[in-house]
Amino acid sequence: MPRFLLLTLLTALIALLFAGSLTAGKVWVPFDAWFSNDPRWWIVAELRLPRAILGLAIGAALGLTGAVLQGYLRNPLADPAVVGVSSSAALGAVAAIVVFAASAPLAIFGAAMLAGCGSMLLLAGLAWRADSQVAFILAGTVLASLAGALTAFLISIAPNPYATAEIIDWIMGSLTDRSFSEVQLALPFIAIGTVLLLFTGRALDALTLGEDAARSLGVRLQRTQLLIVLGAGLAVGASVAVTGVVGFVGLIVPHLLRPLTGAKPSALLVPSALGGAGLVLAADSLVRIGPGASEIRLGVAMAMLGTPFFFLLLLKMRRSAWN
Amino acid sequence: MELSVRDLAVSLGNRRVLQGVSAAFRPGRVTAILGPNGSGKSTLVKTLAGLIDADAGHARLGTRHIARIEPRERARRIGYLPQDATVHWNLSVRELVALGRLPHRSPFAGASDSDAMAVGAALAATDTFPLADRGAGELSGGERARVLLARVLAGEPQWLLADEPLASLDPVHQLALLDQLRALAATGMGVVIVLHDLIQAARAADDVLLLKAGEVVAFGPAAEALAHQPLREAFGVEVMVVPDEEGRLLPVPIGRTKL
Repeated sequence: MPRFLLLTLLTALIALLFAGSLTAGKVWVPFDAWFSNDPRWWIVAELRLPRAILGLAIGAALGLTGAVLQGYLRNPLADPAVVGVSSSAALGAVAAIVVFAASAPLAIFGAAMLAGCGSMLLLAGLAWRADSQVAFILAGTVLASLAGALTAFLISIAPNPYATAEIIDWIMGSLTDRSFSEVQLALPFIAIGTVLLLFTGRALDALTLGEDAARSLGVRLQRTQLLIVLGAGLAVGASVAVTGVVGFVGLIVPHLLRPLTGAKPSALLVPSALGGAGLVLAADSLVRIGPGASEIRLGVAMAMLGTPFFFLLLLKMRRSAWN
Repeated sequence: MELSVRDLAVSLGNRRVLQGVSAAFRPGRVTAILGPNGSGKSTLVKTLAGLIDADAGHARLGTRHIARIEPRERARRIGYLPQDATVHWNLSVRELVALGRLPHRSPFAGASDSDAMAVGAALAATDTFPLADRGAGELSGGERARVLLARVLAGEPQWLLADEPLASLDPVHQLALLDQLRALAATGMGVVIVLHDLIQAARAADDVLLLKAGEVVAFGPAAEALAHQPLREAFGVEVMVVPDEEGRLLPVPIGRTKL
């Protein structure tokens, strides 16, 4: 599909889904109540708007990070969870809840960002000298396992059932009840991370030929790794810090779009950011209009959607000659 | 511009792979690097391409240390064709060949007319134009070797360094690729290739560098470096020298040297 057409369609789709996100919910707010003194407008302006903005931003961050990591690791199964950034940020937030009994968004956000970025820097340090994707993926897997184990440990020593409930609620990933203060906290970091990640396109293309060929084409692999580590740390760290763990976006979106963009990694970056934004907006609207008083958590909905997709992908890879 | 190494010592991990290697490669000629497995051939080529740092000694392009040339400028001058022919995503052949233009493009700039022309010329030179819209995953081994060579040529380098370009090619494609490399050298490009086959080296190379255990056994015109004594010393093999139809002397291995 021509790139301009694809980007236009994706942008139009996001505009529609954003508008849909503002209208979706248990309460129908008629359009004549919008921008008025009607108390129902408050629902749209104060509850749904920040939620839609966050959905757009974290979807873009996760979709883009997934596309970058798949290109960098030359592995179609890579996503932000693989390098441990999501689970490390989650660990930071859980530690804030358990150890410091924090419930203020700022404290949880700060701890999650610190842990997310810290884990990425640790990853860079571990993989730095090795200068290879295998070291990177191994170090990331180890960090993810460690963060998972420490999170489980913290849950086990949680001081009271309320803290446990808060942790579990948080880990499941959700945009429910997010306000503009979360938007203000997360957006700058997501924006900076996204820009850093967008600078990797050329290196990702060169890596199609392997590391030696990429370096012979003038690509500085360590700089690429640093951009990815910082970009993913900031963008995904900030996303997890305000919503909890929302998986599978980074895995699914690049796969859905690759047939439309072609296989060149750089061609996939912007469409994946747009596609991720669209997917999270759509999923978050759907969980709101489901039956019952409470909502299915966004992270849970994504995992339910993502797992069958993952298996289909594996089946397709087994059949594909390209594998 | 001459590509040279002097007193080069290179280690991989704790193992010294090259020791005291000195050689000057001249443009417009095909130089073959030969030696037993593990003798340091690939390491030497990677050092020449600026991918590995030397422990001691230096590698130079003209008078400049290769390791100190800015990576993109180095990439514009020295093209490197790795042994690994894996293409990790199913790019089209045209996209793949266009990757060779990356060192010529400023960040975020699209392909210019000169990029498109260089890609077209590289496809034409390697006879891969008809494959341009095919996916890299749909190519045969011979086609892929030509396409990857086109990728390097698209960068219009002064030097072409190829690490075992004949591996996994059948005899017809081996001969075709060697003819191609000779034709490139005839245009003034410097060509350095790692080979395993003594006969192909004798046919295609002007100069030969023989390595054994990281040290130079012989370096000079092919006929001299591929003679009985240097081959005995480097490989431990006896050869029978047979003239081909053009009068070149081809060393045919006939047995191991008895100690």
